Amino acid sequence: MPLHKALAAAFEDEIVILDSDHGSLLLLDTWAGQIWRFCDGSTTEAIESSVNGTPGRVRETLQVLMDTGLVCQINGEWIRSPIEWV
Amino acid sequence: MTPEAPAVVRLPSAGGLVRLTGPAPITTALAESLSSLRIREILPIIDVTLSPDARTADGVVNGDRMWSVALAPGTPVGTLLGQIVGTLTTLLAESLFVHAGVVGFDGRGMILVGESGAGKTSTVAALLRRGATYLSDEVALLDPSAGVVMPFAIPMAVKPWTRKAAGALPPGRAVVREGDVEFWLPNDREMRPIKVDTFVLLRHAGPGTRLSPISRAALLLALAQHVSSFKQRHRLPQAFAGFTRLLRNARCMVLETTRPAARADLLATFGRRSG
Repeated sequence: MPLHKALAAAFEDEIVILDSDHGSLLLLDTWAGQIWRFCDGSTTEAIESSVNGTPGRVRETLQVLMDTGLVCQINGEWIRSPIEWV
Repeated sequence: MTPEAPAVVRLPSAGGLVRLTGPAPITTALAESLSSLRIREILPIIDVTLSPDARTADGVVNGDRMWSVALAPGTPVGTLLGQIVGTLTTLLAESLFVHAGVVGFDGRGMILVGESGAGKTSTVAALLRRGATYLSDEVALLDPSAGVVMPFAIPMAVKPWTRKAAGALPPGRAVVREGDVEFWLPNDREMRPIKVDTFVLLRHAGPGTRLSPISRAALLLALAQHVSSFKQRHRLPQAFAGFTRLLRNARCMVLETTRPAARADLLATFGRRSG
């Protein structure tokens, strides 16, 4: 399920996201943050070709991001949940 | 013990009141413990009423009972001080807080965050003896919009092991003693808000002492795990935005050691360096 209310803060190369729905914080390290930023309508293949990493690792990260509600896949395209930056 | 007239403690800069009613030895000690406290926002009145035999106490805010506690003989002040501080932090609407010790170095605030038993009090005491000023032993009261930490000067709860770890206490006075706990108010107190300069996460570790940087993101997550404004669900977005703002302009460190003296020496040296 996509998050409904999320705030995000970028610190250097890490991102922290507040999931207000569940009252939890999520830390995206450099790698996860990079994948997450590419979730702007890109397909899995497009993301794989844009980052340095094995396809398996990219797919694994996308799955984790989806499980936490940070992204969802619509018609093969990855979309970030709406985020408000602080 | 017999019921006494209420001792009224006015929080000078707050416009709010803590009204204490009950046996005089206890209410007097509590009043003195709270008398140096300054809170800049307007808070509702907290009524604290002890039973005549000092076995129980209630905390009431705006007519609503916030808590009732059974008081162990011999330690009512410590228990009630904890309840009152907890109530005050719950009532905050503008300031943020985190359970932490706070000292100042040349007008710059160092916030010491750690679990209970991590050595906050002994570290604060040892730092005061090395020239730091006292802001709090218990609560870092923060104004993110101004980037400052405010004094929250209740007495330090000095336990026997704290005294052993800290060595001699800094100059000050004992407000009250309960059992083997001494409530100690240091003389050298910071009276005004000061800039937040450093957050230090205190961790127990094996042999050796290490002070090293920690990422702001990791420290934000650590703060959220502690007793802080993050624990108040309705303030989550406010806490997230506020702590983020504070951390962006602060040095973030983690200190790993089991030796309080080494810890204080390192932090005093670090704290005197300009941010």
